[in-house]
Amino acid sequence: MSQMLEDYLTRVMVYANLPPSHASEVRQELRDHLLEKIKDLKAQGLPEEDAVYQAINAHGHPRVVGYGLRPRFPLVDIRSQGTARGVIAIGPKAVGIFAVGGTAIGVFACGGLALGLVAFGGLGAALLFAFCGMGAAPVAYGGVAVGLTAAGGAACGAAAVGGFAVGLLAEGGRALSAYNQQNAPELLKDLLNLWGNNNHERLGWVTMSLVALLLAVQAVAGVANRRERRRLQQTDPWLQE
Amino acid sequence: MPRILEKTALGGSVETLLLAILKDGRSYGYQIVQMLKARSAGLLRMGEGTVYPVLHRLEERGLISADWVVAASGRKRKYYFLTPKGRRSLAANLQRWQALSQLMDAVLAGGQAPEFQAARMTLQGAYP
Repeated sequence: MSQMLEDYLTRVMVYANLPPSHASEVRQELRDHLLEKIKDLKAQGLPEEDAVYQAINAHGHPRVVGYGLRPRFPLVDIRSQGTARGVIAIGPKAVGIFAVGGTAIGVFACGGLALGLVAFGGLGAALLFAFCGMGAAPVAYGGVAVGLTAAGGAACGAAAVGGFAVGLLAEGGRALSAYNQQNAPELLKDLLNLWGNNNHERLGWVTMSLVALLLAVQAVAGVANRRERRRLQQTDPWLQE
Repeated sequence: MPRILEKTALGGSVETLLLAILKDGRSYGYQIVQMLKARSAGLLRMGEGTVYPVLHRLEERGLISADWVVAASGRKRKYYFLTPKGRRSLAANLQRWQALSQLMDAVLAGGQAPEFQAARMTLQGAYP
């Protein structure tokens, strides 16, 4: 019967992923709680098997308890569910210096929805630079890019360059521009020149670099995530519940 | 029959509840959960294990402290107790909660002047 209890605690501790020195104390504390609960339930007349089952059930799902016990902002936090918070955070929702996830918030955010100082992803907003399917940032690059300086399929910004570009100073396949290159203020010219004088070549280079960076980040995140899932599955056969 | 309240509905207020329980003296996890259930008359539903992350966070922040004691059962047991910082935090939280409660009462009651006055006075105390 205590085996069931120990199995439960093992599952909790796998999700908690604490340093060994701290883990043994936490495990001892949780074990004491469960044993007290079992004692009380048995005193109420429950058979031991039922008491153990009820105590474990009342304690909560190992994933919920375990994830709750993780340090609040560890170096690396990888989660199969819920919000990962860490210097490097990987999960469905990730918050960190480097955040990778379905929804990612961080200094460097990479994900379906990315919010950060620098954002990569499907839909992104950034305080500095966004490279996204749809991106909004001072410097935005993507399918649809909105920003002070925007480049992409459709670009809208003070200085915009792209297939369809709208801006005070715009350049591209189809451009709607308030100024032309001759009479535009120097500041706008400088902004447009962020993308280089030879825009098409420069944009292609930037695109390839960013795609490579994105793939590298996703590959590292994928490997880390797979390792984490394997670690969990080894101890938690009910992971797929 | 009153509805059961999920722990998540309380948000950060769970910390205040735990501090309030520890105000009455040192206690350990299981006992804290039992006291929480008793005081809420069973209306608060929570995984018992989810109280530990909150306790550990409070400990990290120095609001509570803990020591290990050998219980009658022979097992080592972790007892938590309020620190002076925790006591101050609890007092501040209670004042804010009271102000919020008065504010909600006043607004939901239709904004009668006496309730608003009481809420304003308490808020001024909570956020000097």
